[in-house]
Amino acid sequence: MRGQATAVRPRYGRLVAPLILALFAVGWYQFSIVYIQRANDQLVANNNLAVYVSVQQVQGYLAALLDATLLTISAALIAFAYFFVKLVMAKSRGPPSPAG
Amino acid sequence: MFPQQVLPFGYFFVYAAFGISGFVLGWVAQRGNYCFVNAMSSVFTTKSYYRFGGLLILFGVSSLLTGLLVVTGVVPAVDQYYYNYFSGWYVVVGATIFGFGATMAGGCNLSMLYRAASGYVQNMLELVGMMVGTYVFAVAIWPFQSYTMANGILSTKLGAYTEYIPYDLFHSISQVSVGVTAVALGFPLVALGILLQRKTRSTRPLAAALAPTAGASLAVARATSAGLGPLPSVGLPQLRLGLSGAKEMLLLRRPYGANLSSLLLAGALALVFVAGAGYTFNYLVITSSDGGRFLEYILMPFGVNLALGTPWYNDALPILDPSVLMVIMLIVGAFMASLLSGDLKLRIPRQKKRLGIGFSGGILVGIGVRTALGCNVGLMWTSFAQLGYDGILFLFAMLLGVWIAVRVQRRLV
Repeated sequence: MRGQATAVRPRYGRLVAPLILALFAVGWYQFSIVYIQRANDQLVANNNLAVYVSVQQVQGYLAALLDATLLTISAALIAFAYFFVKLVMAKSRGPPSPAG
Repeated sequence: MFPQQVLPFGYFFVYAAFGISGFVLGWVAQRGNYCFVNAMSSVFTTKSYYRFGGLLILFGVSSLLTGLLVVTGVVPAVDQYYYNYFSGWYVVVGATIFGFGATMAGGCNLSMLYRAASGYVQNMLELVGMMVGTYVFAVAIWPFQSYTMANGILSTKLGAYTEYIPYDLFHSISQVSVGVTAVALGFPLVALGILLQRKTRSTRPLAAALAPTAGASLAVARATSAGLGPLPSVGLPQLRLGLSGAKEMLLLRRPYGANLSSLLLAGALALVFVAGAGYTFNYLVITSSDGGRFLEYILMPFGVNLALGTPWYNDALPILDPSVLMVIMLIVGAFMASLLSGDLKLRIPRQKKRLGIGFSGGILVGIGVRTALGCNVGLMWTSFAQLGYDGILFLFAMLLGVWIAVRVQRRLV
């Protein structure tokens, strides 16, 4: 039943998951800044313009990605805080009942 | 004639629109458990047309929406047809391979991503297999395929307006011809979709329609019922949605229905159709190209740049485009939806062979989508929105592949 919160075992995975999401967002942003730009520059240096992407487009990508990264990290931190509070509340109610 | 920009806000806006669209896609697909392969295989396994009807509604609404945007002058016709692909043997062959591989692996290009983000290890391996399959395609198939395309061997040689149904029918790209075509294509698809859904509802009680096997192929469905397989239980038709039902959906306690998901997904497509017009491929692309691109990205830190010398990577795949951000945000959207709804869980199949099937199915998915020049989203769904005919070819060929896979699975189980 929904009201029997004491029967619910705390799920630590819900605390870890938002942190993984935030790390993924930061990691992808850093990767994009370092490697995608470098690979694009390599294409110019090797005169391969067939798959080269204009500087404006790369800048547009990085600017949009930065905003997306910040939003994702914010959402992840909010989710972390929410689940953390839920976990603390569940713990304060005591251990799960044997029936749970 | 070249594409014309509709909105003059620059690439930041275009990428942002694709990012938002990707997030919506991931969120909605996860909440609606939306899967093209699931929808098709259920036709052959449980004779349920509910989700397949939802797919047809998605295609119909998409073609009506884009047609309406062109007819009202919001988007020029050139932005609708400019990215129509070539058509030929490769669409049929590729879609059949794709349908087979995706059914075996347990997910189409869309569901593979959101399920991988929800913790399904089999679909994670499918994604890895797809990267490998894309590489196999690039070095072994693309040189031959591009030769047939360049020389018109069982292939068209132009794409664009030559595969635009309004032009093919009326030799015109006027707003009237586009409108007539959109109505002639869109309304029958929507009507057929609704009809198929009603047929399913009338021939089976609701309880049966709600069974977890409703969308899954036979083998996968058995695994699902044991909580092992890649296709999670599906709450299928939402016959009546009251205020309390809507509230339950908003609170992520109830999955989205197939038709609501279809409408939201069509809205996401319309967003990028307008925002990307004149800048880039202004339709939804999922992993058909990004499967290859992510392998390219993974190798970059090791000093390998596939775009410098590997076929296809060096002449057909831009190192970056808005689909990259779209796929990243799709993963974020699906992850958030599954986390907040309590669905997020690392799921390793008890039958270890399913991991191998997922990986090898992924390889076929990679080969299939690249051979067809696109996946179920980037080619099939997109082609309906483009008012092209590749989507129709892809649909029937994919159904064939799914049907073969269902037969094979029956023998294996």
